[in-house]
Amino acid sequence: MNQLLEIKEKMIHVYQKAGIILIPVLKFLMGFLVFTMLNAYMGYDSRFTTTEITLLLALFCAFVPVSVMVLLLAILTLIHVYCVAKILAIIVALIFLVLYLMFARLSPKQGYAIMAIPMLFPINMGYLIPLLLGMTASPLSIVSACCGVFVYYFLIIVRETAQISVNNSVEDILALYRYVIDGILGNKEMFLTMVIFSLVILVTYFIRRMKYDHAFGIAITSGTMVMILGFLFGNIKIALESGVVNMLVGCILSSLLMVIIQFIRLTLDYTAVERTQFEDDDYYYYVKAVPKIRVTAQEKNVVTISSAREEKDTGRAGAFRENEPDDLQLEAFELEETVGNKKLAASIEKIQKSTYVKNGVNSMDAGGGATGRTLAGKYKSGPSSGRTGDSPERSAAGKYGGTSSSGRTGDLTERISTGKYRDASSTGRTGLATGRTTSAAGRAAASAENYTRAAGAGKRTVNAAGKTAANTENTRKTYWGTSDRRRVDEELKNLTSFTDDINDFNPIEIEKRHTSYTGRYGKK
Amino acid sequence: MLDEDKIRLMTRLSVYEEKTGKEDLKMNGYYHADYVALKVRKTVISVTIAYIIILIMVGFYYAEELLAQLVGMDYKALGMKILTVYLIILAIYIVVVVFATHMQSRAARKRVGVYHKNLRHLKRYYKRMEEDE
Repeated sequence: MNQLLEIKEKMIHVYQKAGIILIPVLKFLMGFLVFTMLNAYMGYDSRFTTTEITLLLALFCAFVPVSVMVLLLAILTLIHVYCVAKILAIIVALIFLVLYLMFARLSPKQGYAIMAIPMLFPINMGYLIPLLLGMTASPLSIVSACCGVFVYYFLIIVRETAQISVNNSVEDILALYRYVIDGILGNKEMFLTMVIFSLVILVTYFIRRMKYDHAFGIAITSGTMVMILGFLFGNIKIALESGVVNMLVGCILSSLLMVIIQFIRLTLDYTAVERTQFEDDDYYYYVKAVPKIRVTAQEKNVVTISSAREEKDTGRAGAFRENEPDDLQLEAFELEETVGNKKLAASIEKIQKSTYVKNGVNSMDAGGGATGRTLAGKYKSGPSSGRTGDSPERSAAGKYGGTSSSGRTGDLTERISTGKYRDASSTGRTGLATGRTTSAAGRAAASAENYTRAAGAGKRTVNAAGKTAANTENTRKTYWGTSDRRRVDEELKNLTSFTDDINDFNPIEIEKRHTSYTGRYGKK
Repeated sequence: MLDEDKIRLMTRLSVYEEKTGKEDLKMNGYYHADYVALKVRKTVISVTIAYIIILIMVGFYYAEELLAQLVGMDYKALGMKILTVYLIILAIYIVVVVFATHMQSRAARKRVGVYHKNLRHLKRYYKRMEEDE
């Protein structure tokens, strides 16, 4: 997981540095791929299938919105069809027009879905789009998905029909027309796909908006399950052309791809560099606004908080009791040093300067949240080791064992865990995941300065940084720390305000030029 | 002397104006009812054109049958049927568009509120500057 997080961080940096070039380049590549596929699929007009024309079109698409690319694709399709069957081209044009007027204009921002489904279906990956729309868009995107499915099956019919030679007699034209319309209306697989894709979008959308842990993961899994079951049931009545095995493979691969996309999506969403220009009375400003990087790559492995009372009552750490004394304190922390991690010293120094480490605080994942829940990490019962100081009865009640990383940081718990946090390390790369999270590593570390002080049991705490990279292996040092309830409460407030500041920009490049303009924001 | 706070504020305003603000401010330029009415008018035009095209296509599909029954056809009943279907489709579209526009407008109002708040901050900033001078 650490490696994945590091890859993600690298992507953030690349995106921040090269976003202005990267996006047109990616659009160019996408355009080139799409036009090449169209030419391969129905490249009847040889004038438009040359590499030069394809490159020019792709280059044009690199600098225009996706909706323009969709329009170009539609026009190119018409040209190809016109080359081989003029009457068919008119039918195609009319159907495209109806499609736009009645459906596509309702959700113009999802134009890529209309284009992507016909392009991905031939490689058996069209199942990705409803998952993607469910995870990123609103239920209105059902319209785009259905349009995409329609275009895919319609183009198959057009391709078949284009092979039929037609005379200019009225009977032949009518027969051709009926063949196309019957092909559309009689295509049960198309309607089945539309219904299933709509269901998948709805299921994925509603689940990902729920305030549960792992809501995004559950949404993707549920969407995939609905898709697989839908097609399996549909296959009983309508034999799928692509075959059940292909469908299963496609669904699973799409689902995996969606997980990867989800992993990097939020990061890229919120780290795009903004460039803008404005002026006031004195200057003309060229500003490059870079969102604050929410990441520090320090590895802190933590931690144990333990309480004998808790152990007595529950037999396991971190468990919650209603009548805990208010003088709760975090008790014992094991700050573990990763072997060879030279950053530890710097980390401790930094921690000692502040009582709170903001690593892992902010995040944009709506699915995270889950305040008031208990730990994200796993609980393990067991005695604490390496404790020093304080009374024996406060010794460890248990451990949070190896909280695993999932890209999320831990959740805030309402209640203290008097048990032991162990190995709930935060790589600091918290950023994206939960609504309000905090790092137990930070908390543990915050207490590191007081490492010799013993602590009492208590009522509130912060969850293990849980799902960010845990590193359970290399324990070397043990520190003791204290924290009282008030302090924890203050930190909770800090968390809230810090999360609110997430959209702040940090203008780092300001090029100033003296001008005599009176700007939009200038004094009047 | 560059003032970073002011630049930050102006940057936020500018970024908003260039991105999501474009549509929001356009929407905000109308009274809510007027904006919804505009959207509805566009929808009515689109749906009407699309419906006419669909009618032509359907007519073409059943051309042979229509030609055969040209004389004895009940045009009134057919007209009523066509009109009823048209009105039903139109009603569905209008409901969807009104609902979607309402949701968009609500979200846009919040964003525009923040934008105006920032503008007020900037105004106060200039006022302070003037007072200092």
